[in-house]
Amino acid sequence: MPLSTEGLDVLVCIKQVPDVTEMKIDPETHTLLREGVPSIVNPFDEHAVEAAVRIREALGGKVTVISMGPPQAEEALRQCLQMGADEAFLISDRALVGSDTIATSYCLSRAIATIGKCDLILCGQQAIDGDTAQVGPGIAENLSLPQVTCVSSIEVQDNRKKAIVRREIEGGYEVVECSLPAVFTVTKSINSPRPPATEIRGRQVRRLGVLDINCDPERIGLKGSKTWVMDMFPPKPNRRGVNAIESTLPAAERIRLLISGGLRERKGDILTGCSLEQVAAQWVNHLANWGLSRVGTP
Amino acid sequence: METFPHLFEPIRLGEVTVRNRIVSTAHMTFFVSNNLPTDRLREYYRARARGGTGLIVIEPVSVHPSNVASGHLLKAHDDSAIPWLKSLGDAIHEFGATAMIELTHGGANGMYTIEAVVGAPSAVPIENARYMPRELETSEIQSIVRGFAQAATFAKKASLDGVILHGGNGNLIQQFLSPFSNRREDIYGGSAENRLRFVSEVLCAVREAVGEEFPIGLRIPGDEFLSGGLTLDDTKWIAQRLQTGLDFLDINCGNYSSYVGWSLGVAPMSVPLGPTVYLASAIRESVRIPVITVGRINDPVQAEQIIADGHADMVGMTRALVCDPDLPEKARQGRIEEIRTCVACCAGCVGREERGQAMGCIQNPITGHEAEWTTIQPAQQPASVMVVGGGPGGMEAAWAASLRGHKVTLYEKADALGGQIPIAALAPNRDEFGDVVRNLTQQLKGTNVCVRLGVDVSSRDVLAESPEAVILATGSVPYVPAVPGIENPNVVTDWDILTSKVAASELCVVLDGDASERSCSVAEFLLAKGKQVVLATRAYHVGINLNKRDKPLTLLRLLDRGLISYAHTWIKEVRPGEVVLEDTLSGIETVFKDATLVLAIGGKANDHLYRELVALEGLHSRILRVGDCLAPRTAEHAIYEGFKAGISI
Repeated sequence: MPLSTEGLDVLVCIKQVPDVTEMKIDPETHTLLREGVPSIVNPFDEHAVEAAVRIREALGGKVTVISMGPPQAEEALRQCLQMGADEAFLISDRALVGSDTIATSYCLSRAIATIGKCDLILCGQQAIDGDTAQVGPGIAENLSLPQVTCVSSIEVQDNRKKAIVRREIEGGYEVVECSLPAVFTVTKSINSPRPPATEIRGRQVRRLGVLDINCDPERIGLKGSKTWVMDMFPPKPNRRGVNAIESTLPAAERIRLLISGGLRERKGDILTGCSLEQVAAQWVNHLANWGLSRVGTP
Repeated sequence: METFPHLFEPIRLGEVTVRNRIVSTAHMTFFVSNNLPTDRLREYYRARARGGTGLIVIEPVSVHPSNVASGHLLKAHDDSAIPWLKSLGDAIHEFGATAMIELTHGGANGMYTIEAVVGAPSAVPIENARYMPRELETSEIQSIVRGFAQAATFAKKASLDGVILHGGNGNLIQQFLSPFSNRREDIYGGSAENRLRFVSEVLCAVREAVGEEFPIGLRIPGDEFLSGGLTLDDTKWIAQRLQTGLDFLDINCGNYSSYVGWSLGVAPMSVPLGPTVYLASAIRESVRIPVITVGRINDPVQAEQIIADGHADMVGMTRALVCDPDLPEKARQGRIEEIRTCVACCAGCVGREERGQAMGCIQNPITGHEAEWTTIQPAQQPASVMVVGGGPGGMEAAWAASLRGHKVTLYEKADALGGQIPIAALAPNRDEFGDVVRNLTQQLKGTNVCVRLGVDVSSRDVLAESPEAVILATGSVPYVPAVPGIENPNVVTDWDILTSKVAASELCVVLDGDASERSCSVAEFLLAKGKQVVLATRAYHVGINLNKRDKPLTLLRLLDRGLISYAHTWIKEVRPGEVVLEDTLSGIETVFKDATLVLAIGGKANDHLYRELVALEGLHSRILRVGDCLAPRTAEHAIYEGFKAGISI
């Protein structure tokens, strides 16, 4: 597939999701009641498409959108074409059914490798149905690319070899310099997506199956998934009781329990280190000490 | 749409059906003058009835002349009370709410003046006054019992729907019930049975006076939270003994014999939500009659859960309704995000009463001004209005100006609205205060106000816009006193500490200015981080200006964490790494080595834009200032002034 010779080739991963604000959970079967619920482009992904289109408008290049999903996800990809994307691919195959984020990340990274080299991969920070925020980072790992998550602004440097991005963190933001190609996941504050108003004009959504993108069958679908959704239910507040304070305690004690809500201060460990790797290593050791993990082998 | 089937199911209390489970419990408002209600009180109740509250309990009314009280307490000592009782009831009935009244005698909670000696079961002083009451004679006790019965008949004749006997908030009935305050050796004191006698006699007399059908309720504390006072086991027994004569119970908590007991009765922000539901729940299990629970019940979701789980039959949401009288209607219509939630700051309601002023609400300027401000008429000519500053003052001003139909633009130089509130909310136990910004933001959603973030407005910008009026709400910055060495690097502001911009040394000297939340908040923040904290104040003691509900709990938390306080003290000078304090009375100096000085004195008006505008040639816009940029005070003032400025255009 031909690539543009100048400008930036941006690839955006999108997902078609049910509009969760309209959705309910079946109280009997504990599954999502999707009937009559409209399907939409994952809102975070709209921001990613917009960011890609704006990069093309500023620097030239091409915007490709891809999605892994059932046949009806084509509608979502068409909407992205109407926002200005140049090409769209739907990876759809029975073998992909039941994929968790590990399997999905693998599949999408295979699709990206097949489609061709790109300078930048954008994803929405998370999908509003699954809310894991794992696929963007998963793609980066599969393709051995650097990743920056929660990106709220992107500034591609003149040499097109790196970008300066702003990354939202609690209470502020980080400014991060990252070499390209890379994977960025974007937040909603990055831009205001334009309405899908552009005529598609001959651009079509192209379909790819698992054979087209050379997927290892052990790593896709249910077989390739390491996690399964066991149950889903709307949050039920604790109906049972209310915390009572023992009336035989002295008044001063009853007062302290009342105003503290029964919370007590506990001792804890603070993990410190100069790098994420150091801190992560300490955390893994803690988990091992508590008997929750095997240290060493990934 | 969110629905609240339990909350909106009607309930019978005696012969009366109340339309839903939401109660505005009795509370003094100070909309009372010379012991008589004013129009302000009627309009206050009318607004709550119109907003959908089920049961409105009119504020406490004194039943006997021996109750020594200020002019702020309603008095129903003779039948001249009937017409005004009826006028209050009519205001409540007009919109379909149920109207009851609380009958009270303060006992030792009275006013201590040269004219009268306050009577109580025993000569036991209350914490608040610390003066000595006298022991009531048996004949007086019986006269007071008749006073309760008489006042109840006035209420019935005035077409009110019921009465509640005030056995809570440390008043006379509670003083008889409590072993702490009742040390009598006659038939009214000693055993639990004897201590019950007074309220039993009151209940019998009232029941005989009003008949079997007229609803009578009793308010008692589920737990006095007082060493030597009533506990839940005692009050369960009391409830069981009295239930045959009663139609319902209203369970609160606390007492007026201790500082902490006082504060828990109207629990402030630092106390978790619904802290005393468990008391009502336990009592409800032991009686057959309906039980009302009250205390930090802020929203309909919480209220619905309490009733659905069987902890109470009705919920007192008194402060929630002070803040938003339309809460019930909004809940019924599923518009819950539009509810202005109470944050239990206690500053505008009980806080104002403590300062001798009429009640209000920091978030709702209309509370107490229902007649003038419930409906704002649009202006004859819509005008353009610039509001500079997106803190609480500016947000409220923009909203108020939009009510007048003006074209309003709100400018804020930072990336987000809120002003100083998000900083204040960073302190421990002040997180809920941030909801004020959420509520103000929600308020703006229903308007055409144009919000421009990240815009630092200059006087040139105002001249270019040339609006009809510009409202300045540019706030303040931390005040830095002119003291030798203040420019040293070991001097920081409370904002720097709360926003984690700087790291403080292990020893911090917090310098207080107004003896209120500002310094206590940052002190608590530093203590929670494990610092050693000295809080120095010019006042006679730390936190002297905190309202009475915050004060004991805040001081308790600070002392628990080892706060050291220096009263009547000010900063003398700062040297590199050292802070020198001076006692303002004795002149004695104290030097703190390796210390950071944290300034929590207050604000300095950020008014350079104002000064430029008034000096600007060719500017014909009306210029108004609200909040800290006028004079640094609190969010309460900013919001109130913002509202008034907005509607004045």
